[in-house]
Amino acid sequence: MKSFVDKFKVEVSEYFERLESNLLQLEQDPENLQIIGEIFRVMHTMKGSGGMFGFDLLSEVTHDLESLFEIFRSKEQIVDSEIISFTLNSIDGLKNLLVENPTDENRFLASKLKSDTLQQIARFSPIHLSGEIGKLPLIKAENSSEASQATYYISFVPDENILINGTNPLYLIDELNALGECNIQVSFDRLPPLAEIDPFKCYTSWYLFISTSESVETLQDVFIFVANSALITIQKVANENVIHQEAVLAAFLNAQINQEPWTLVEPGPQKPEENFEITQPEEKEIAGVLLKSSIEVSKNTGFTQTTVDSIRVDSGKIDLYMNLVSEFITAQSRLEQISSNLKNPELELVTETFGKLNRQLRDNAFDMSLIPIESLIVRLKRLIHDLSKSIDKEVVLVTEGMETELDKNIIEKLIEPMLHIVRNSLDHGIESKNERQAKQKDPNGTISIKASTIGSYVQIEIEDDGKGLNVNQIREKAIAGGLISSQKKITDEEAYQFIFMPGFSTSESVSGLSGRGIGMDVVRSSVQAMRGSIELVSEKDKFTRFIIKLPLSLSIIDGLLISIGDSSYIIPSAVISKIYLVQSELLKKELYPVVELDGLQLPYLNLHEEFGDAGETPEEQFVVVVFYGNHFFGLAIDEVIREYQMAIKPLGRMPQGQDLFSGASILGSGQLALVIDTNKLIQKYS
Amino acid sequence: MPKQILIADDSESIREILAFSLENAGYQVLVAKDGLEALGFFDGRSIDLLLTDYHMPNLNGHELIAKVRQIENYKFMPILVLTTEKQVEMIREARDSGATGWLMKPFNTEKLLQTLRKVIR
Repeated sequence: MKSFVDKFKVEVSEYFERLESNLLQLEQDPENLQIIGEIFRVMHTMKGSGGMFGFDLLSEVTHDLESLFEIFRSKEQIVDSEIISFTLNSIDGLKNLLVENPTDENRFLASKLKSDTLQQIARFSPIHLSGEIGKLPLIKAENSSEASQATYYISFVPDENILINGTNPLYLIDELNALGECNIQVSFDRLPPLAEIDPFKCYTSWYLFISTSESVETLQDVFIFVANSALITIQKVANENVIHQEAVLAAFLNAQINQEPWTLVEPGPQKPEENFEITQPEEKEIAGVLLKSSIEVSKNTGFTQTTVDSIRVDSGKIDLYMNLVSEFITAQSRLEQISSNLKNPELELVTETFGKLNRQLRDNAFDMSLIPIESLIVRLKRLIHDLSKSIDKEVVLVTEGMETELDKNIIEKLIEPMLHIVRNSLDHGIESKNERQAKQKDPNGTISIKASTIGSYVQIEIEDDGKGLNVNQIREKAIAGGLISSQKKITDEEAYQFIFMPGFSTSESVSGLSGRGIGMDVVRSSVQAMRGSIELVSEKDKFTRFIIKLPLSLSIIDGLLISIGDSSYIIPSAVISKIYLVQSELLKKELYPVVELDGLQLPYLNLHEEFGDAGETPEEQFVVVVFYGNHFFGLAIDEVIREYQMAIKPLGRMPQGQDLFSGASILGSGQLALVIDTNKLIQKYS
Repeated sequence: MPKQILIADDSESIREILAFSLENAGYQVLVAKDGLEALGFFDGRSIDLLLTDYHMPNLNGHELIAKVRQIENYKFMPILVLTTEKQVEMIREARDSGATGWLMKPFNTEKLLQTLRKVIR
């Protein structure tokens, strides 16, 4: 502090010099407003800073001198020679007041200087000045002398432009919240339709009750900066804390609406206990009426007691929770394994309970990390809006099933691929207005996004009604690129697959939007990385449709533990329709591997043979019927072990390059089981 | 990231005591000795609050605020003006040019920080 004071003293002596030289100049040119202004400013600074560093006497005297010069500054009067010499004398006096620990002598000098100055002021201005310059127009409120608790009603309706000067109204609400117990309601009544919203404007109003021991002045002070840019009313409701008495609050609001006078609620004497029982029914009735009116009031003012039904949680915490749950599941299957080996009934009972709880825990954890797909769509809408403007195509986005929920990690990873697909559709898919009119299509293009849950998968379809894919063109490109021989005939489906090849593009020109189709390979691999699949269907001049299928969650699934030879595998339960036990005889390979089950011909794949090291064929085999697209397909295996709830771990670097297995899980015994991706398996072997 | 506050005041002692109090409270502080020097700091860097005196050489507070508010990045930055009581007219002028609020001299650290909390967190 010392150094600041020393610096200040040096500054003040400079101020004195400046004042003296200015006063001498003013003597020559008494009407020079610039000089008067300068004198006024120096005094002003001295006054303010003097108070800061504890030179109160200096500050007080300069305050009065400043008031004197205000008279000349406002051109009410003209400086005369008496003023010049008076002020110069006062400055000499002030120099003696620049002391840190004033003595009585100093104080006497100060009061003399002040009274002399006031006399000078009186000489020029008959109306005594001090206290004349008004206070800020604050809202009048009732007396607030007592320090005990009181409840106030505050309405704070900021001007729309309040944000422009850097005001954040929320801080003021925070400040109030720190002063006492609050019941805060936010009103969005002034919110215009979305299209008219100006992000630089404030459309929110706040209505609140506060129970505090602070004075009304303190409450007013909260709003001191916004007093001119907001409608603020502060009204006392009660001389006690009634913030939890909804009936009182509601009655108050009712009175407000009907513009009736409000009588303060005073802290009454405690009701005697024995009377309570007798009066209770009656009281309840009154409370009932009041509560009813509170509901009616709420319709008008948006004021209701809200209960918290959702909280925000850091997504990192959810991830950690999910991780723990998946570890828990692994530990639990180990417990099951041990329990079934020990054959201890008590242990088995506990294990079973444990398993049930574990499943609930898993479902719960799972549910927590699901968020509606809607959040993704907002990004796409924005993209479509911005891009369609810039390339002069009118595109409408149609969505369906946006309430479908997906793991938030998947949604995050899905944003880029989806943006890419939509960007491609906008750029290459949907034709220009003229082209569309020539084809007699609606000049406005449509991109539709549909989401739905199918089993434990979510299916997202992104379709544009543009020009579709040109199969011939794709074929030519593929031949030119040396991907197929010129003689080879390919089906449309096979042609579409080329779209997903790295560096494959059919577009003639490079566009700034989506390049040359580069990236569809990236889209596919990121979808696959989430254990999902992507398909493409198209019809020339009609549509192009991408179908993305994704698992609900990335980490935990229900599966069927099976064995083939000595190895264990897992088939995700979601793809399984039925399981049959059949004689291996029936599975002897004929021309086409088809097995008749329940009178239906079913194509099948004998994994016992395909997975090589199978050894001796058992007499009986299981056929697991799985969904394959819209069809059923049989997988013949050796043994069904049991249903299994598991935490999937991604495969390491070693088995990459294969795509039959989408992951692995560690069994209770410590053994590894690979998770079969049935779609890939069937594609590859059939 | 600590919040960055720019102090503009022609009085060295005021600059220093403000800087001292604010740095102690965990803020990062920039100082300018007049309006023109202060204006030079608004070059796109992140400034969370401008705390400016009203009477300064070169550019006064009123002019500084008006100029700062014209720079895109600082349209919504809170600005507090240092003032003394009875300056209603000055406060009105400062608000019209774009100040968020004011800080009355004399003030102590507690009052300073309390006022700051009205406009930045």
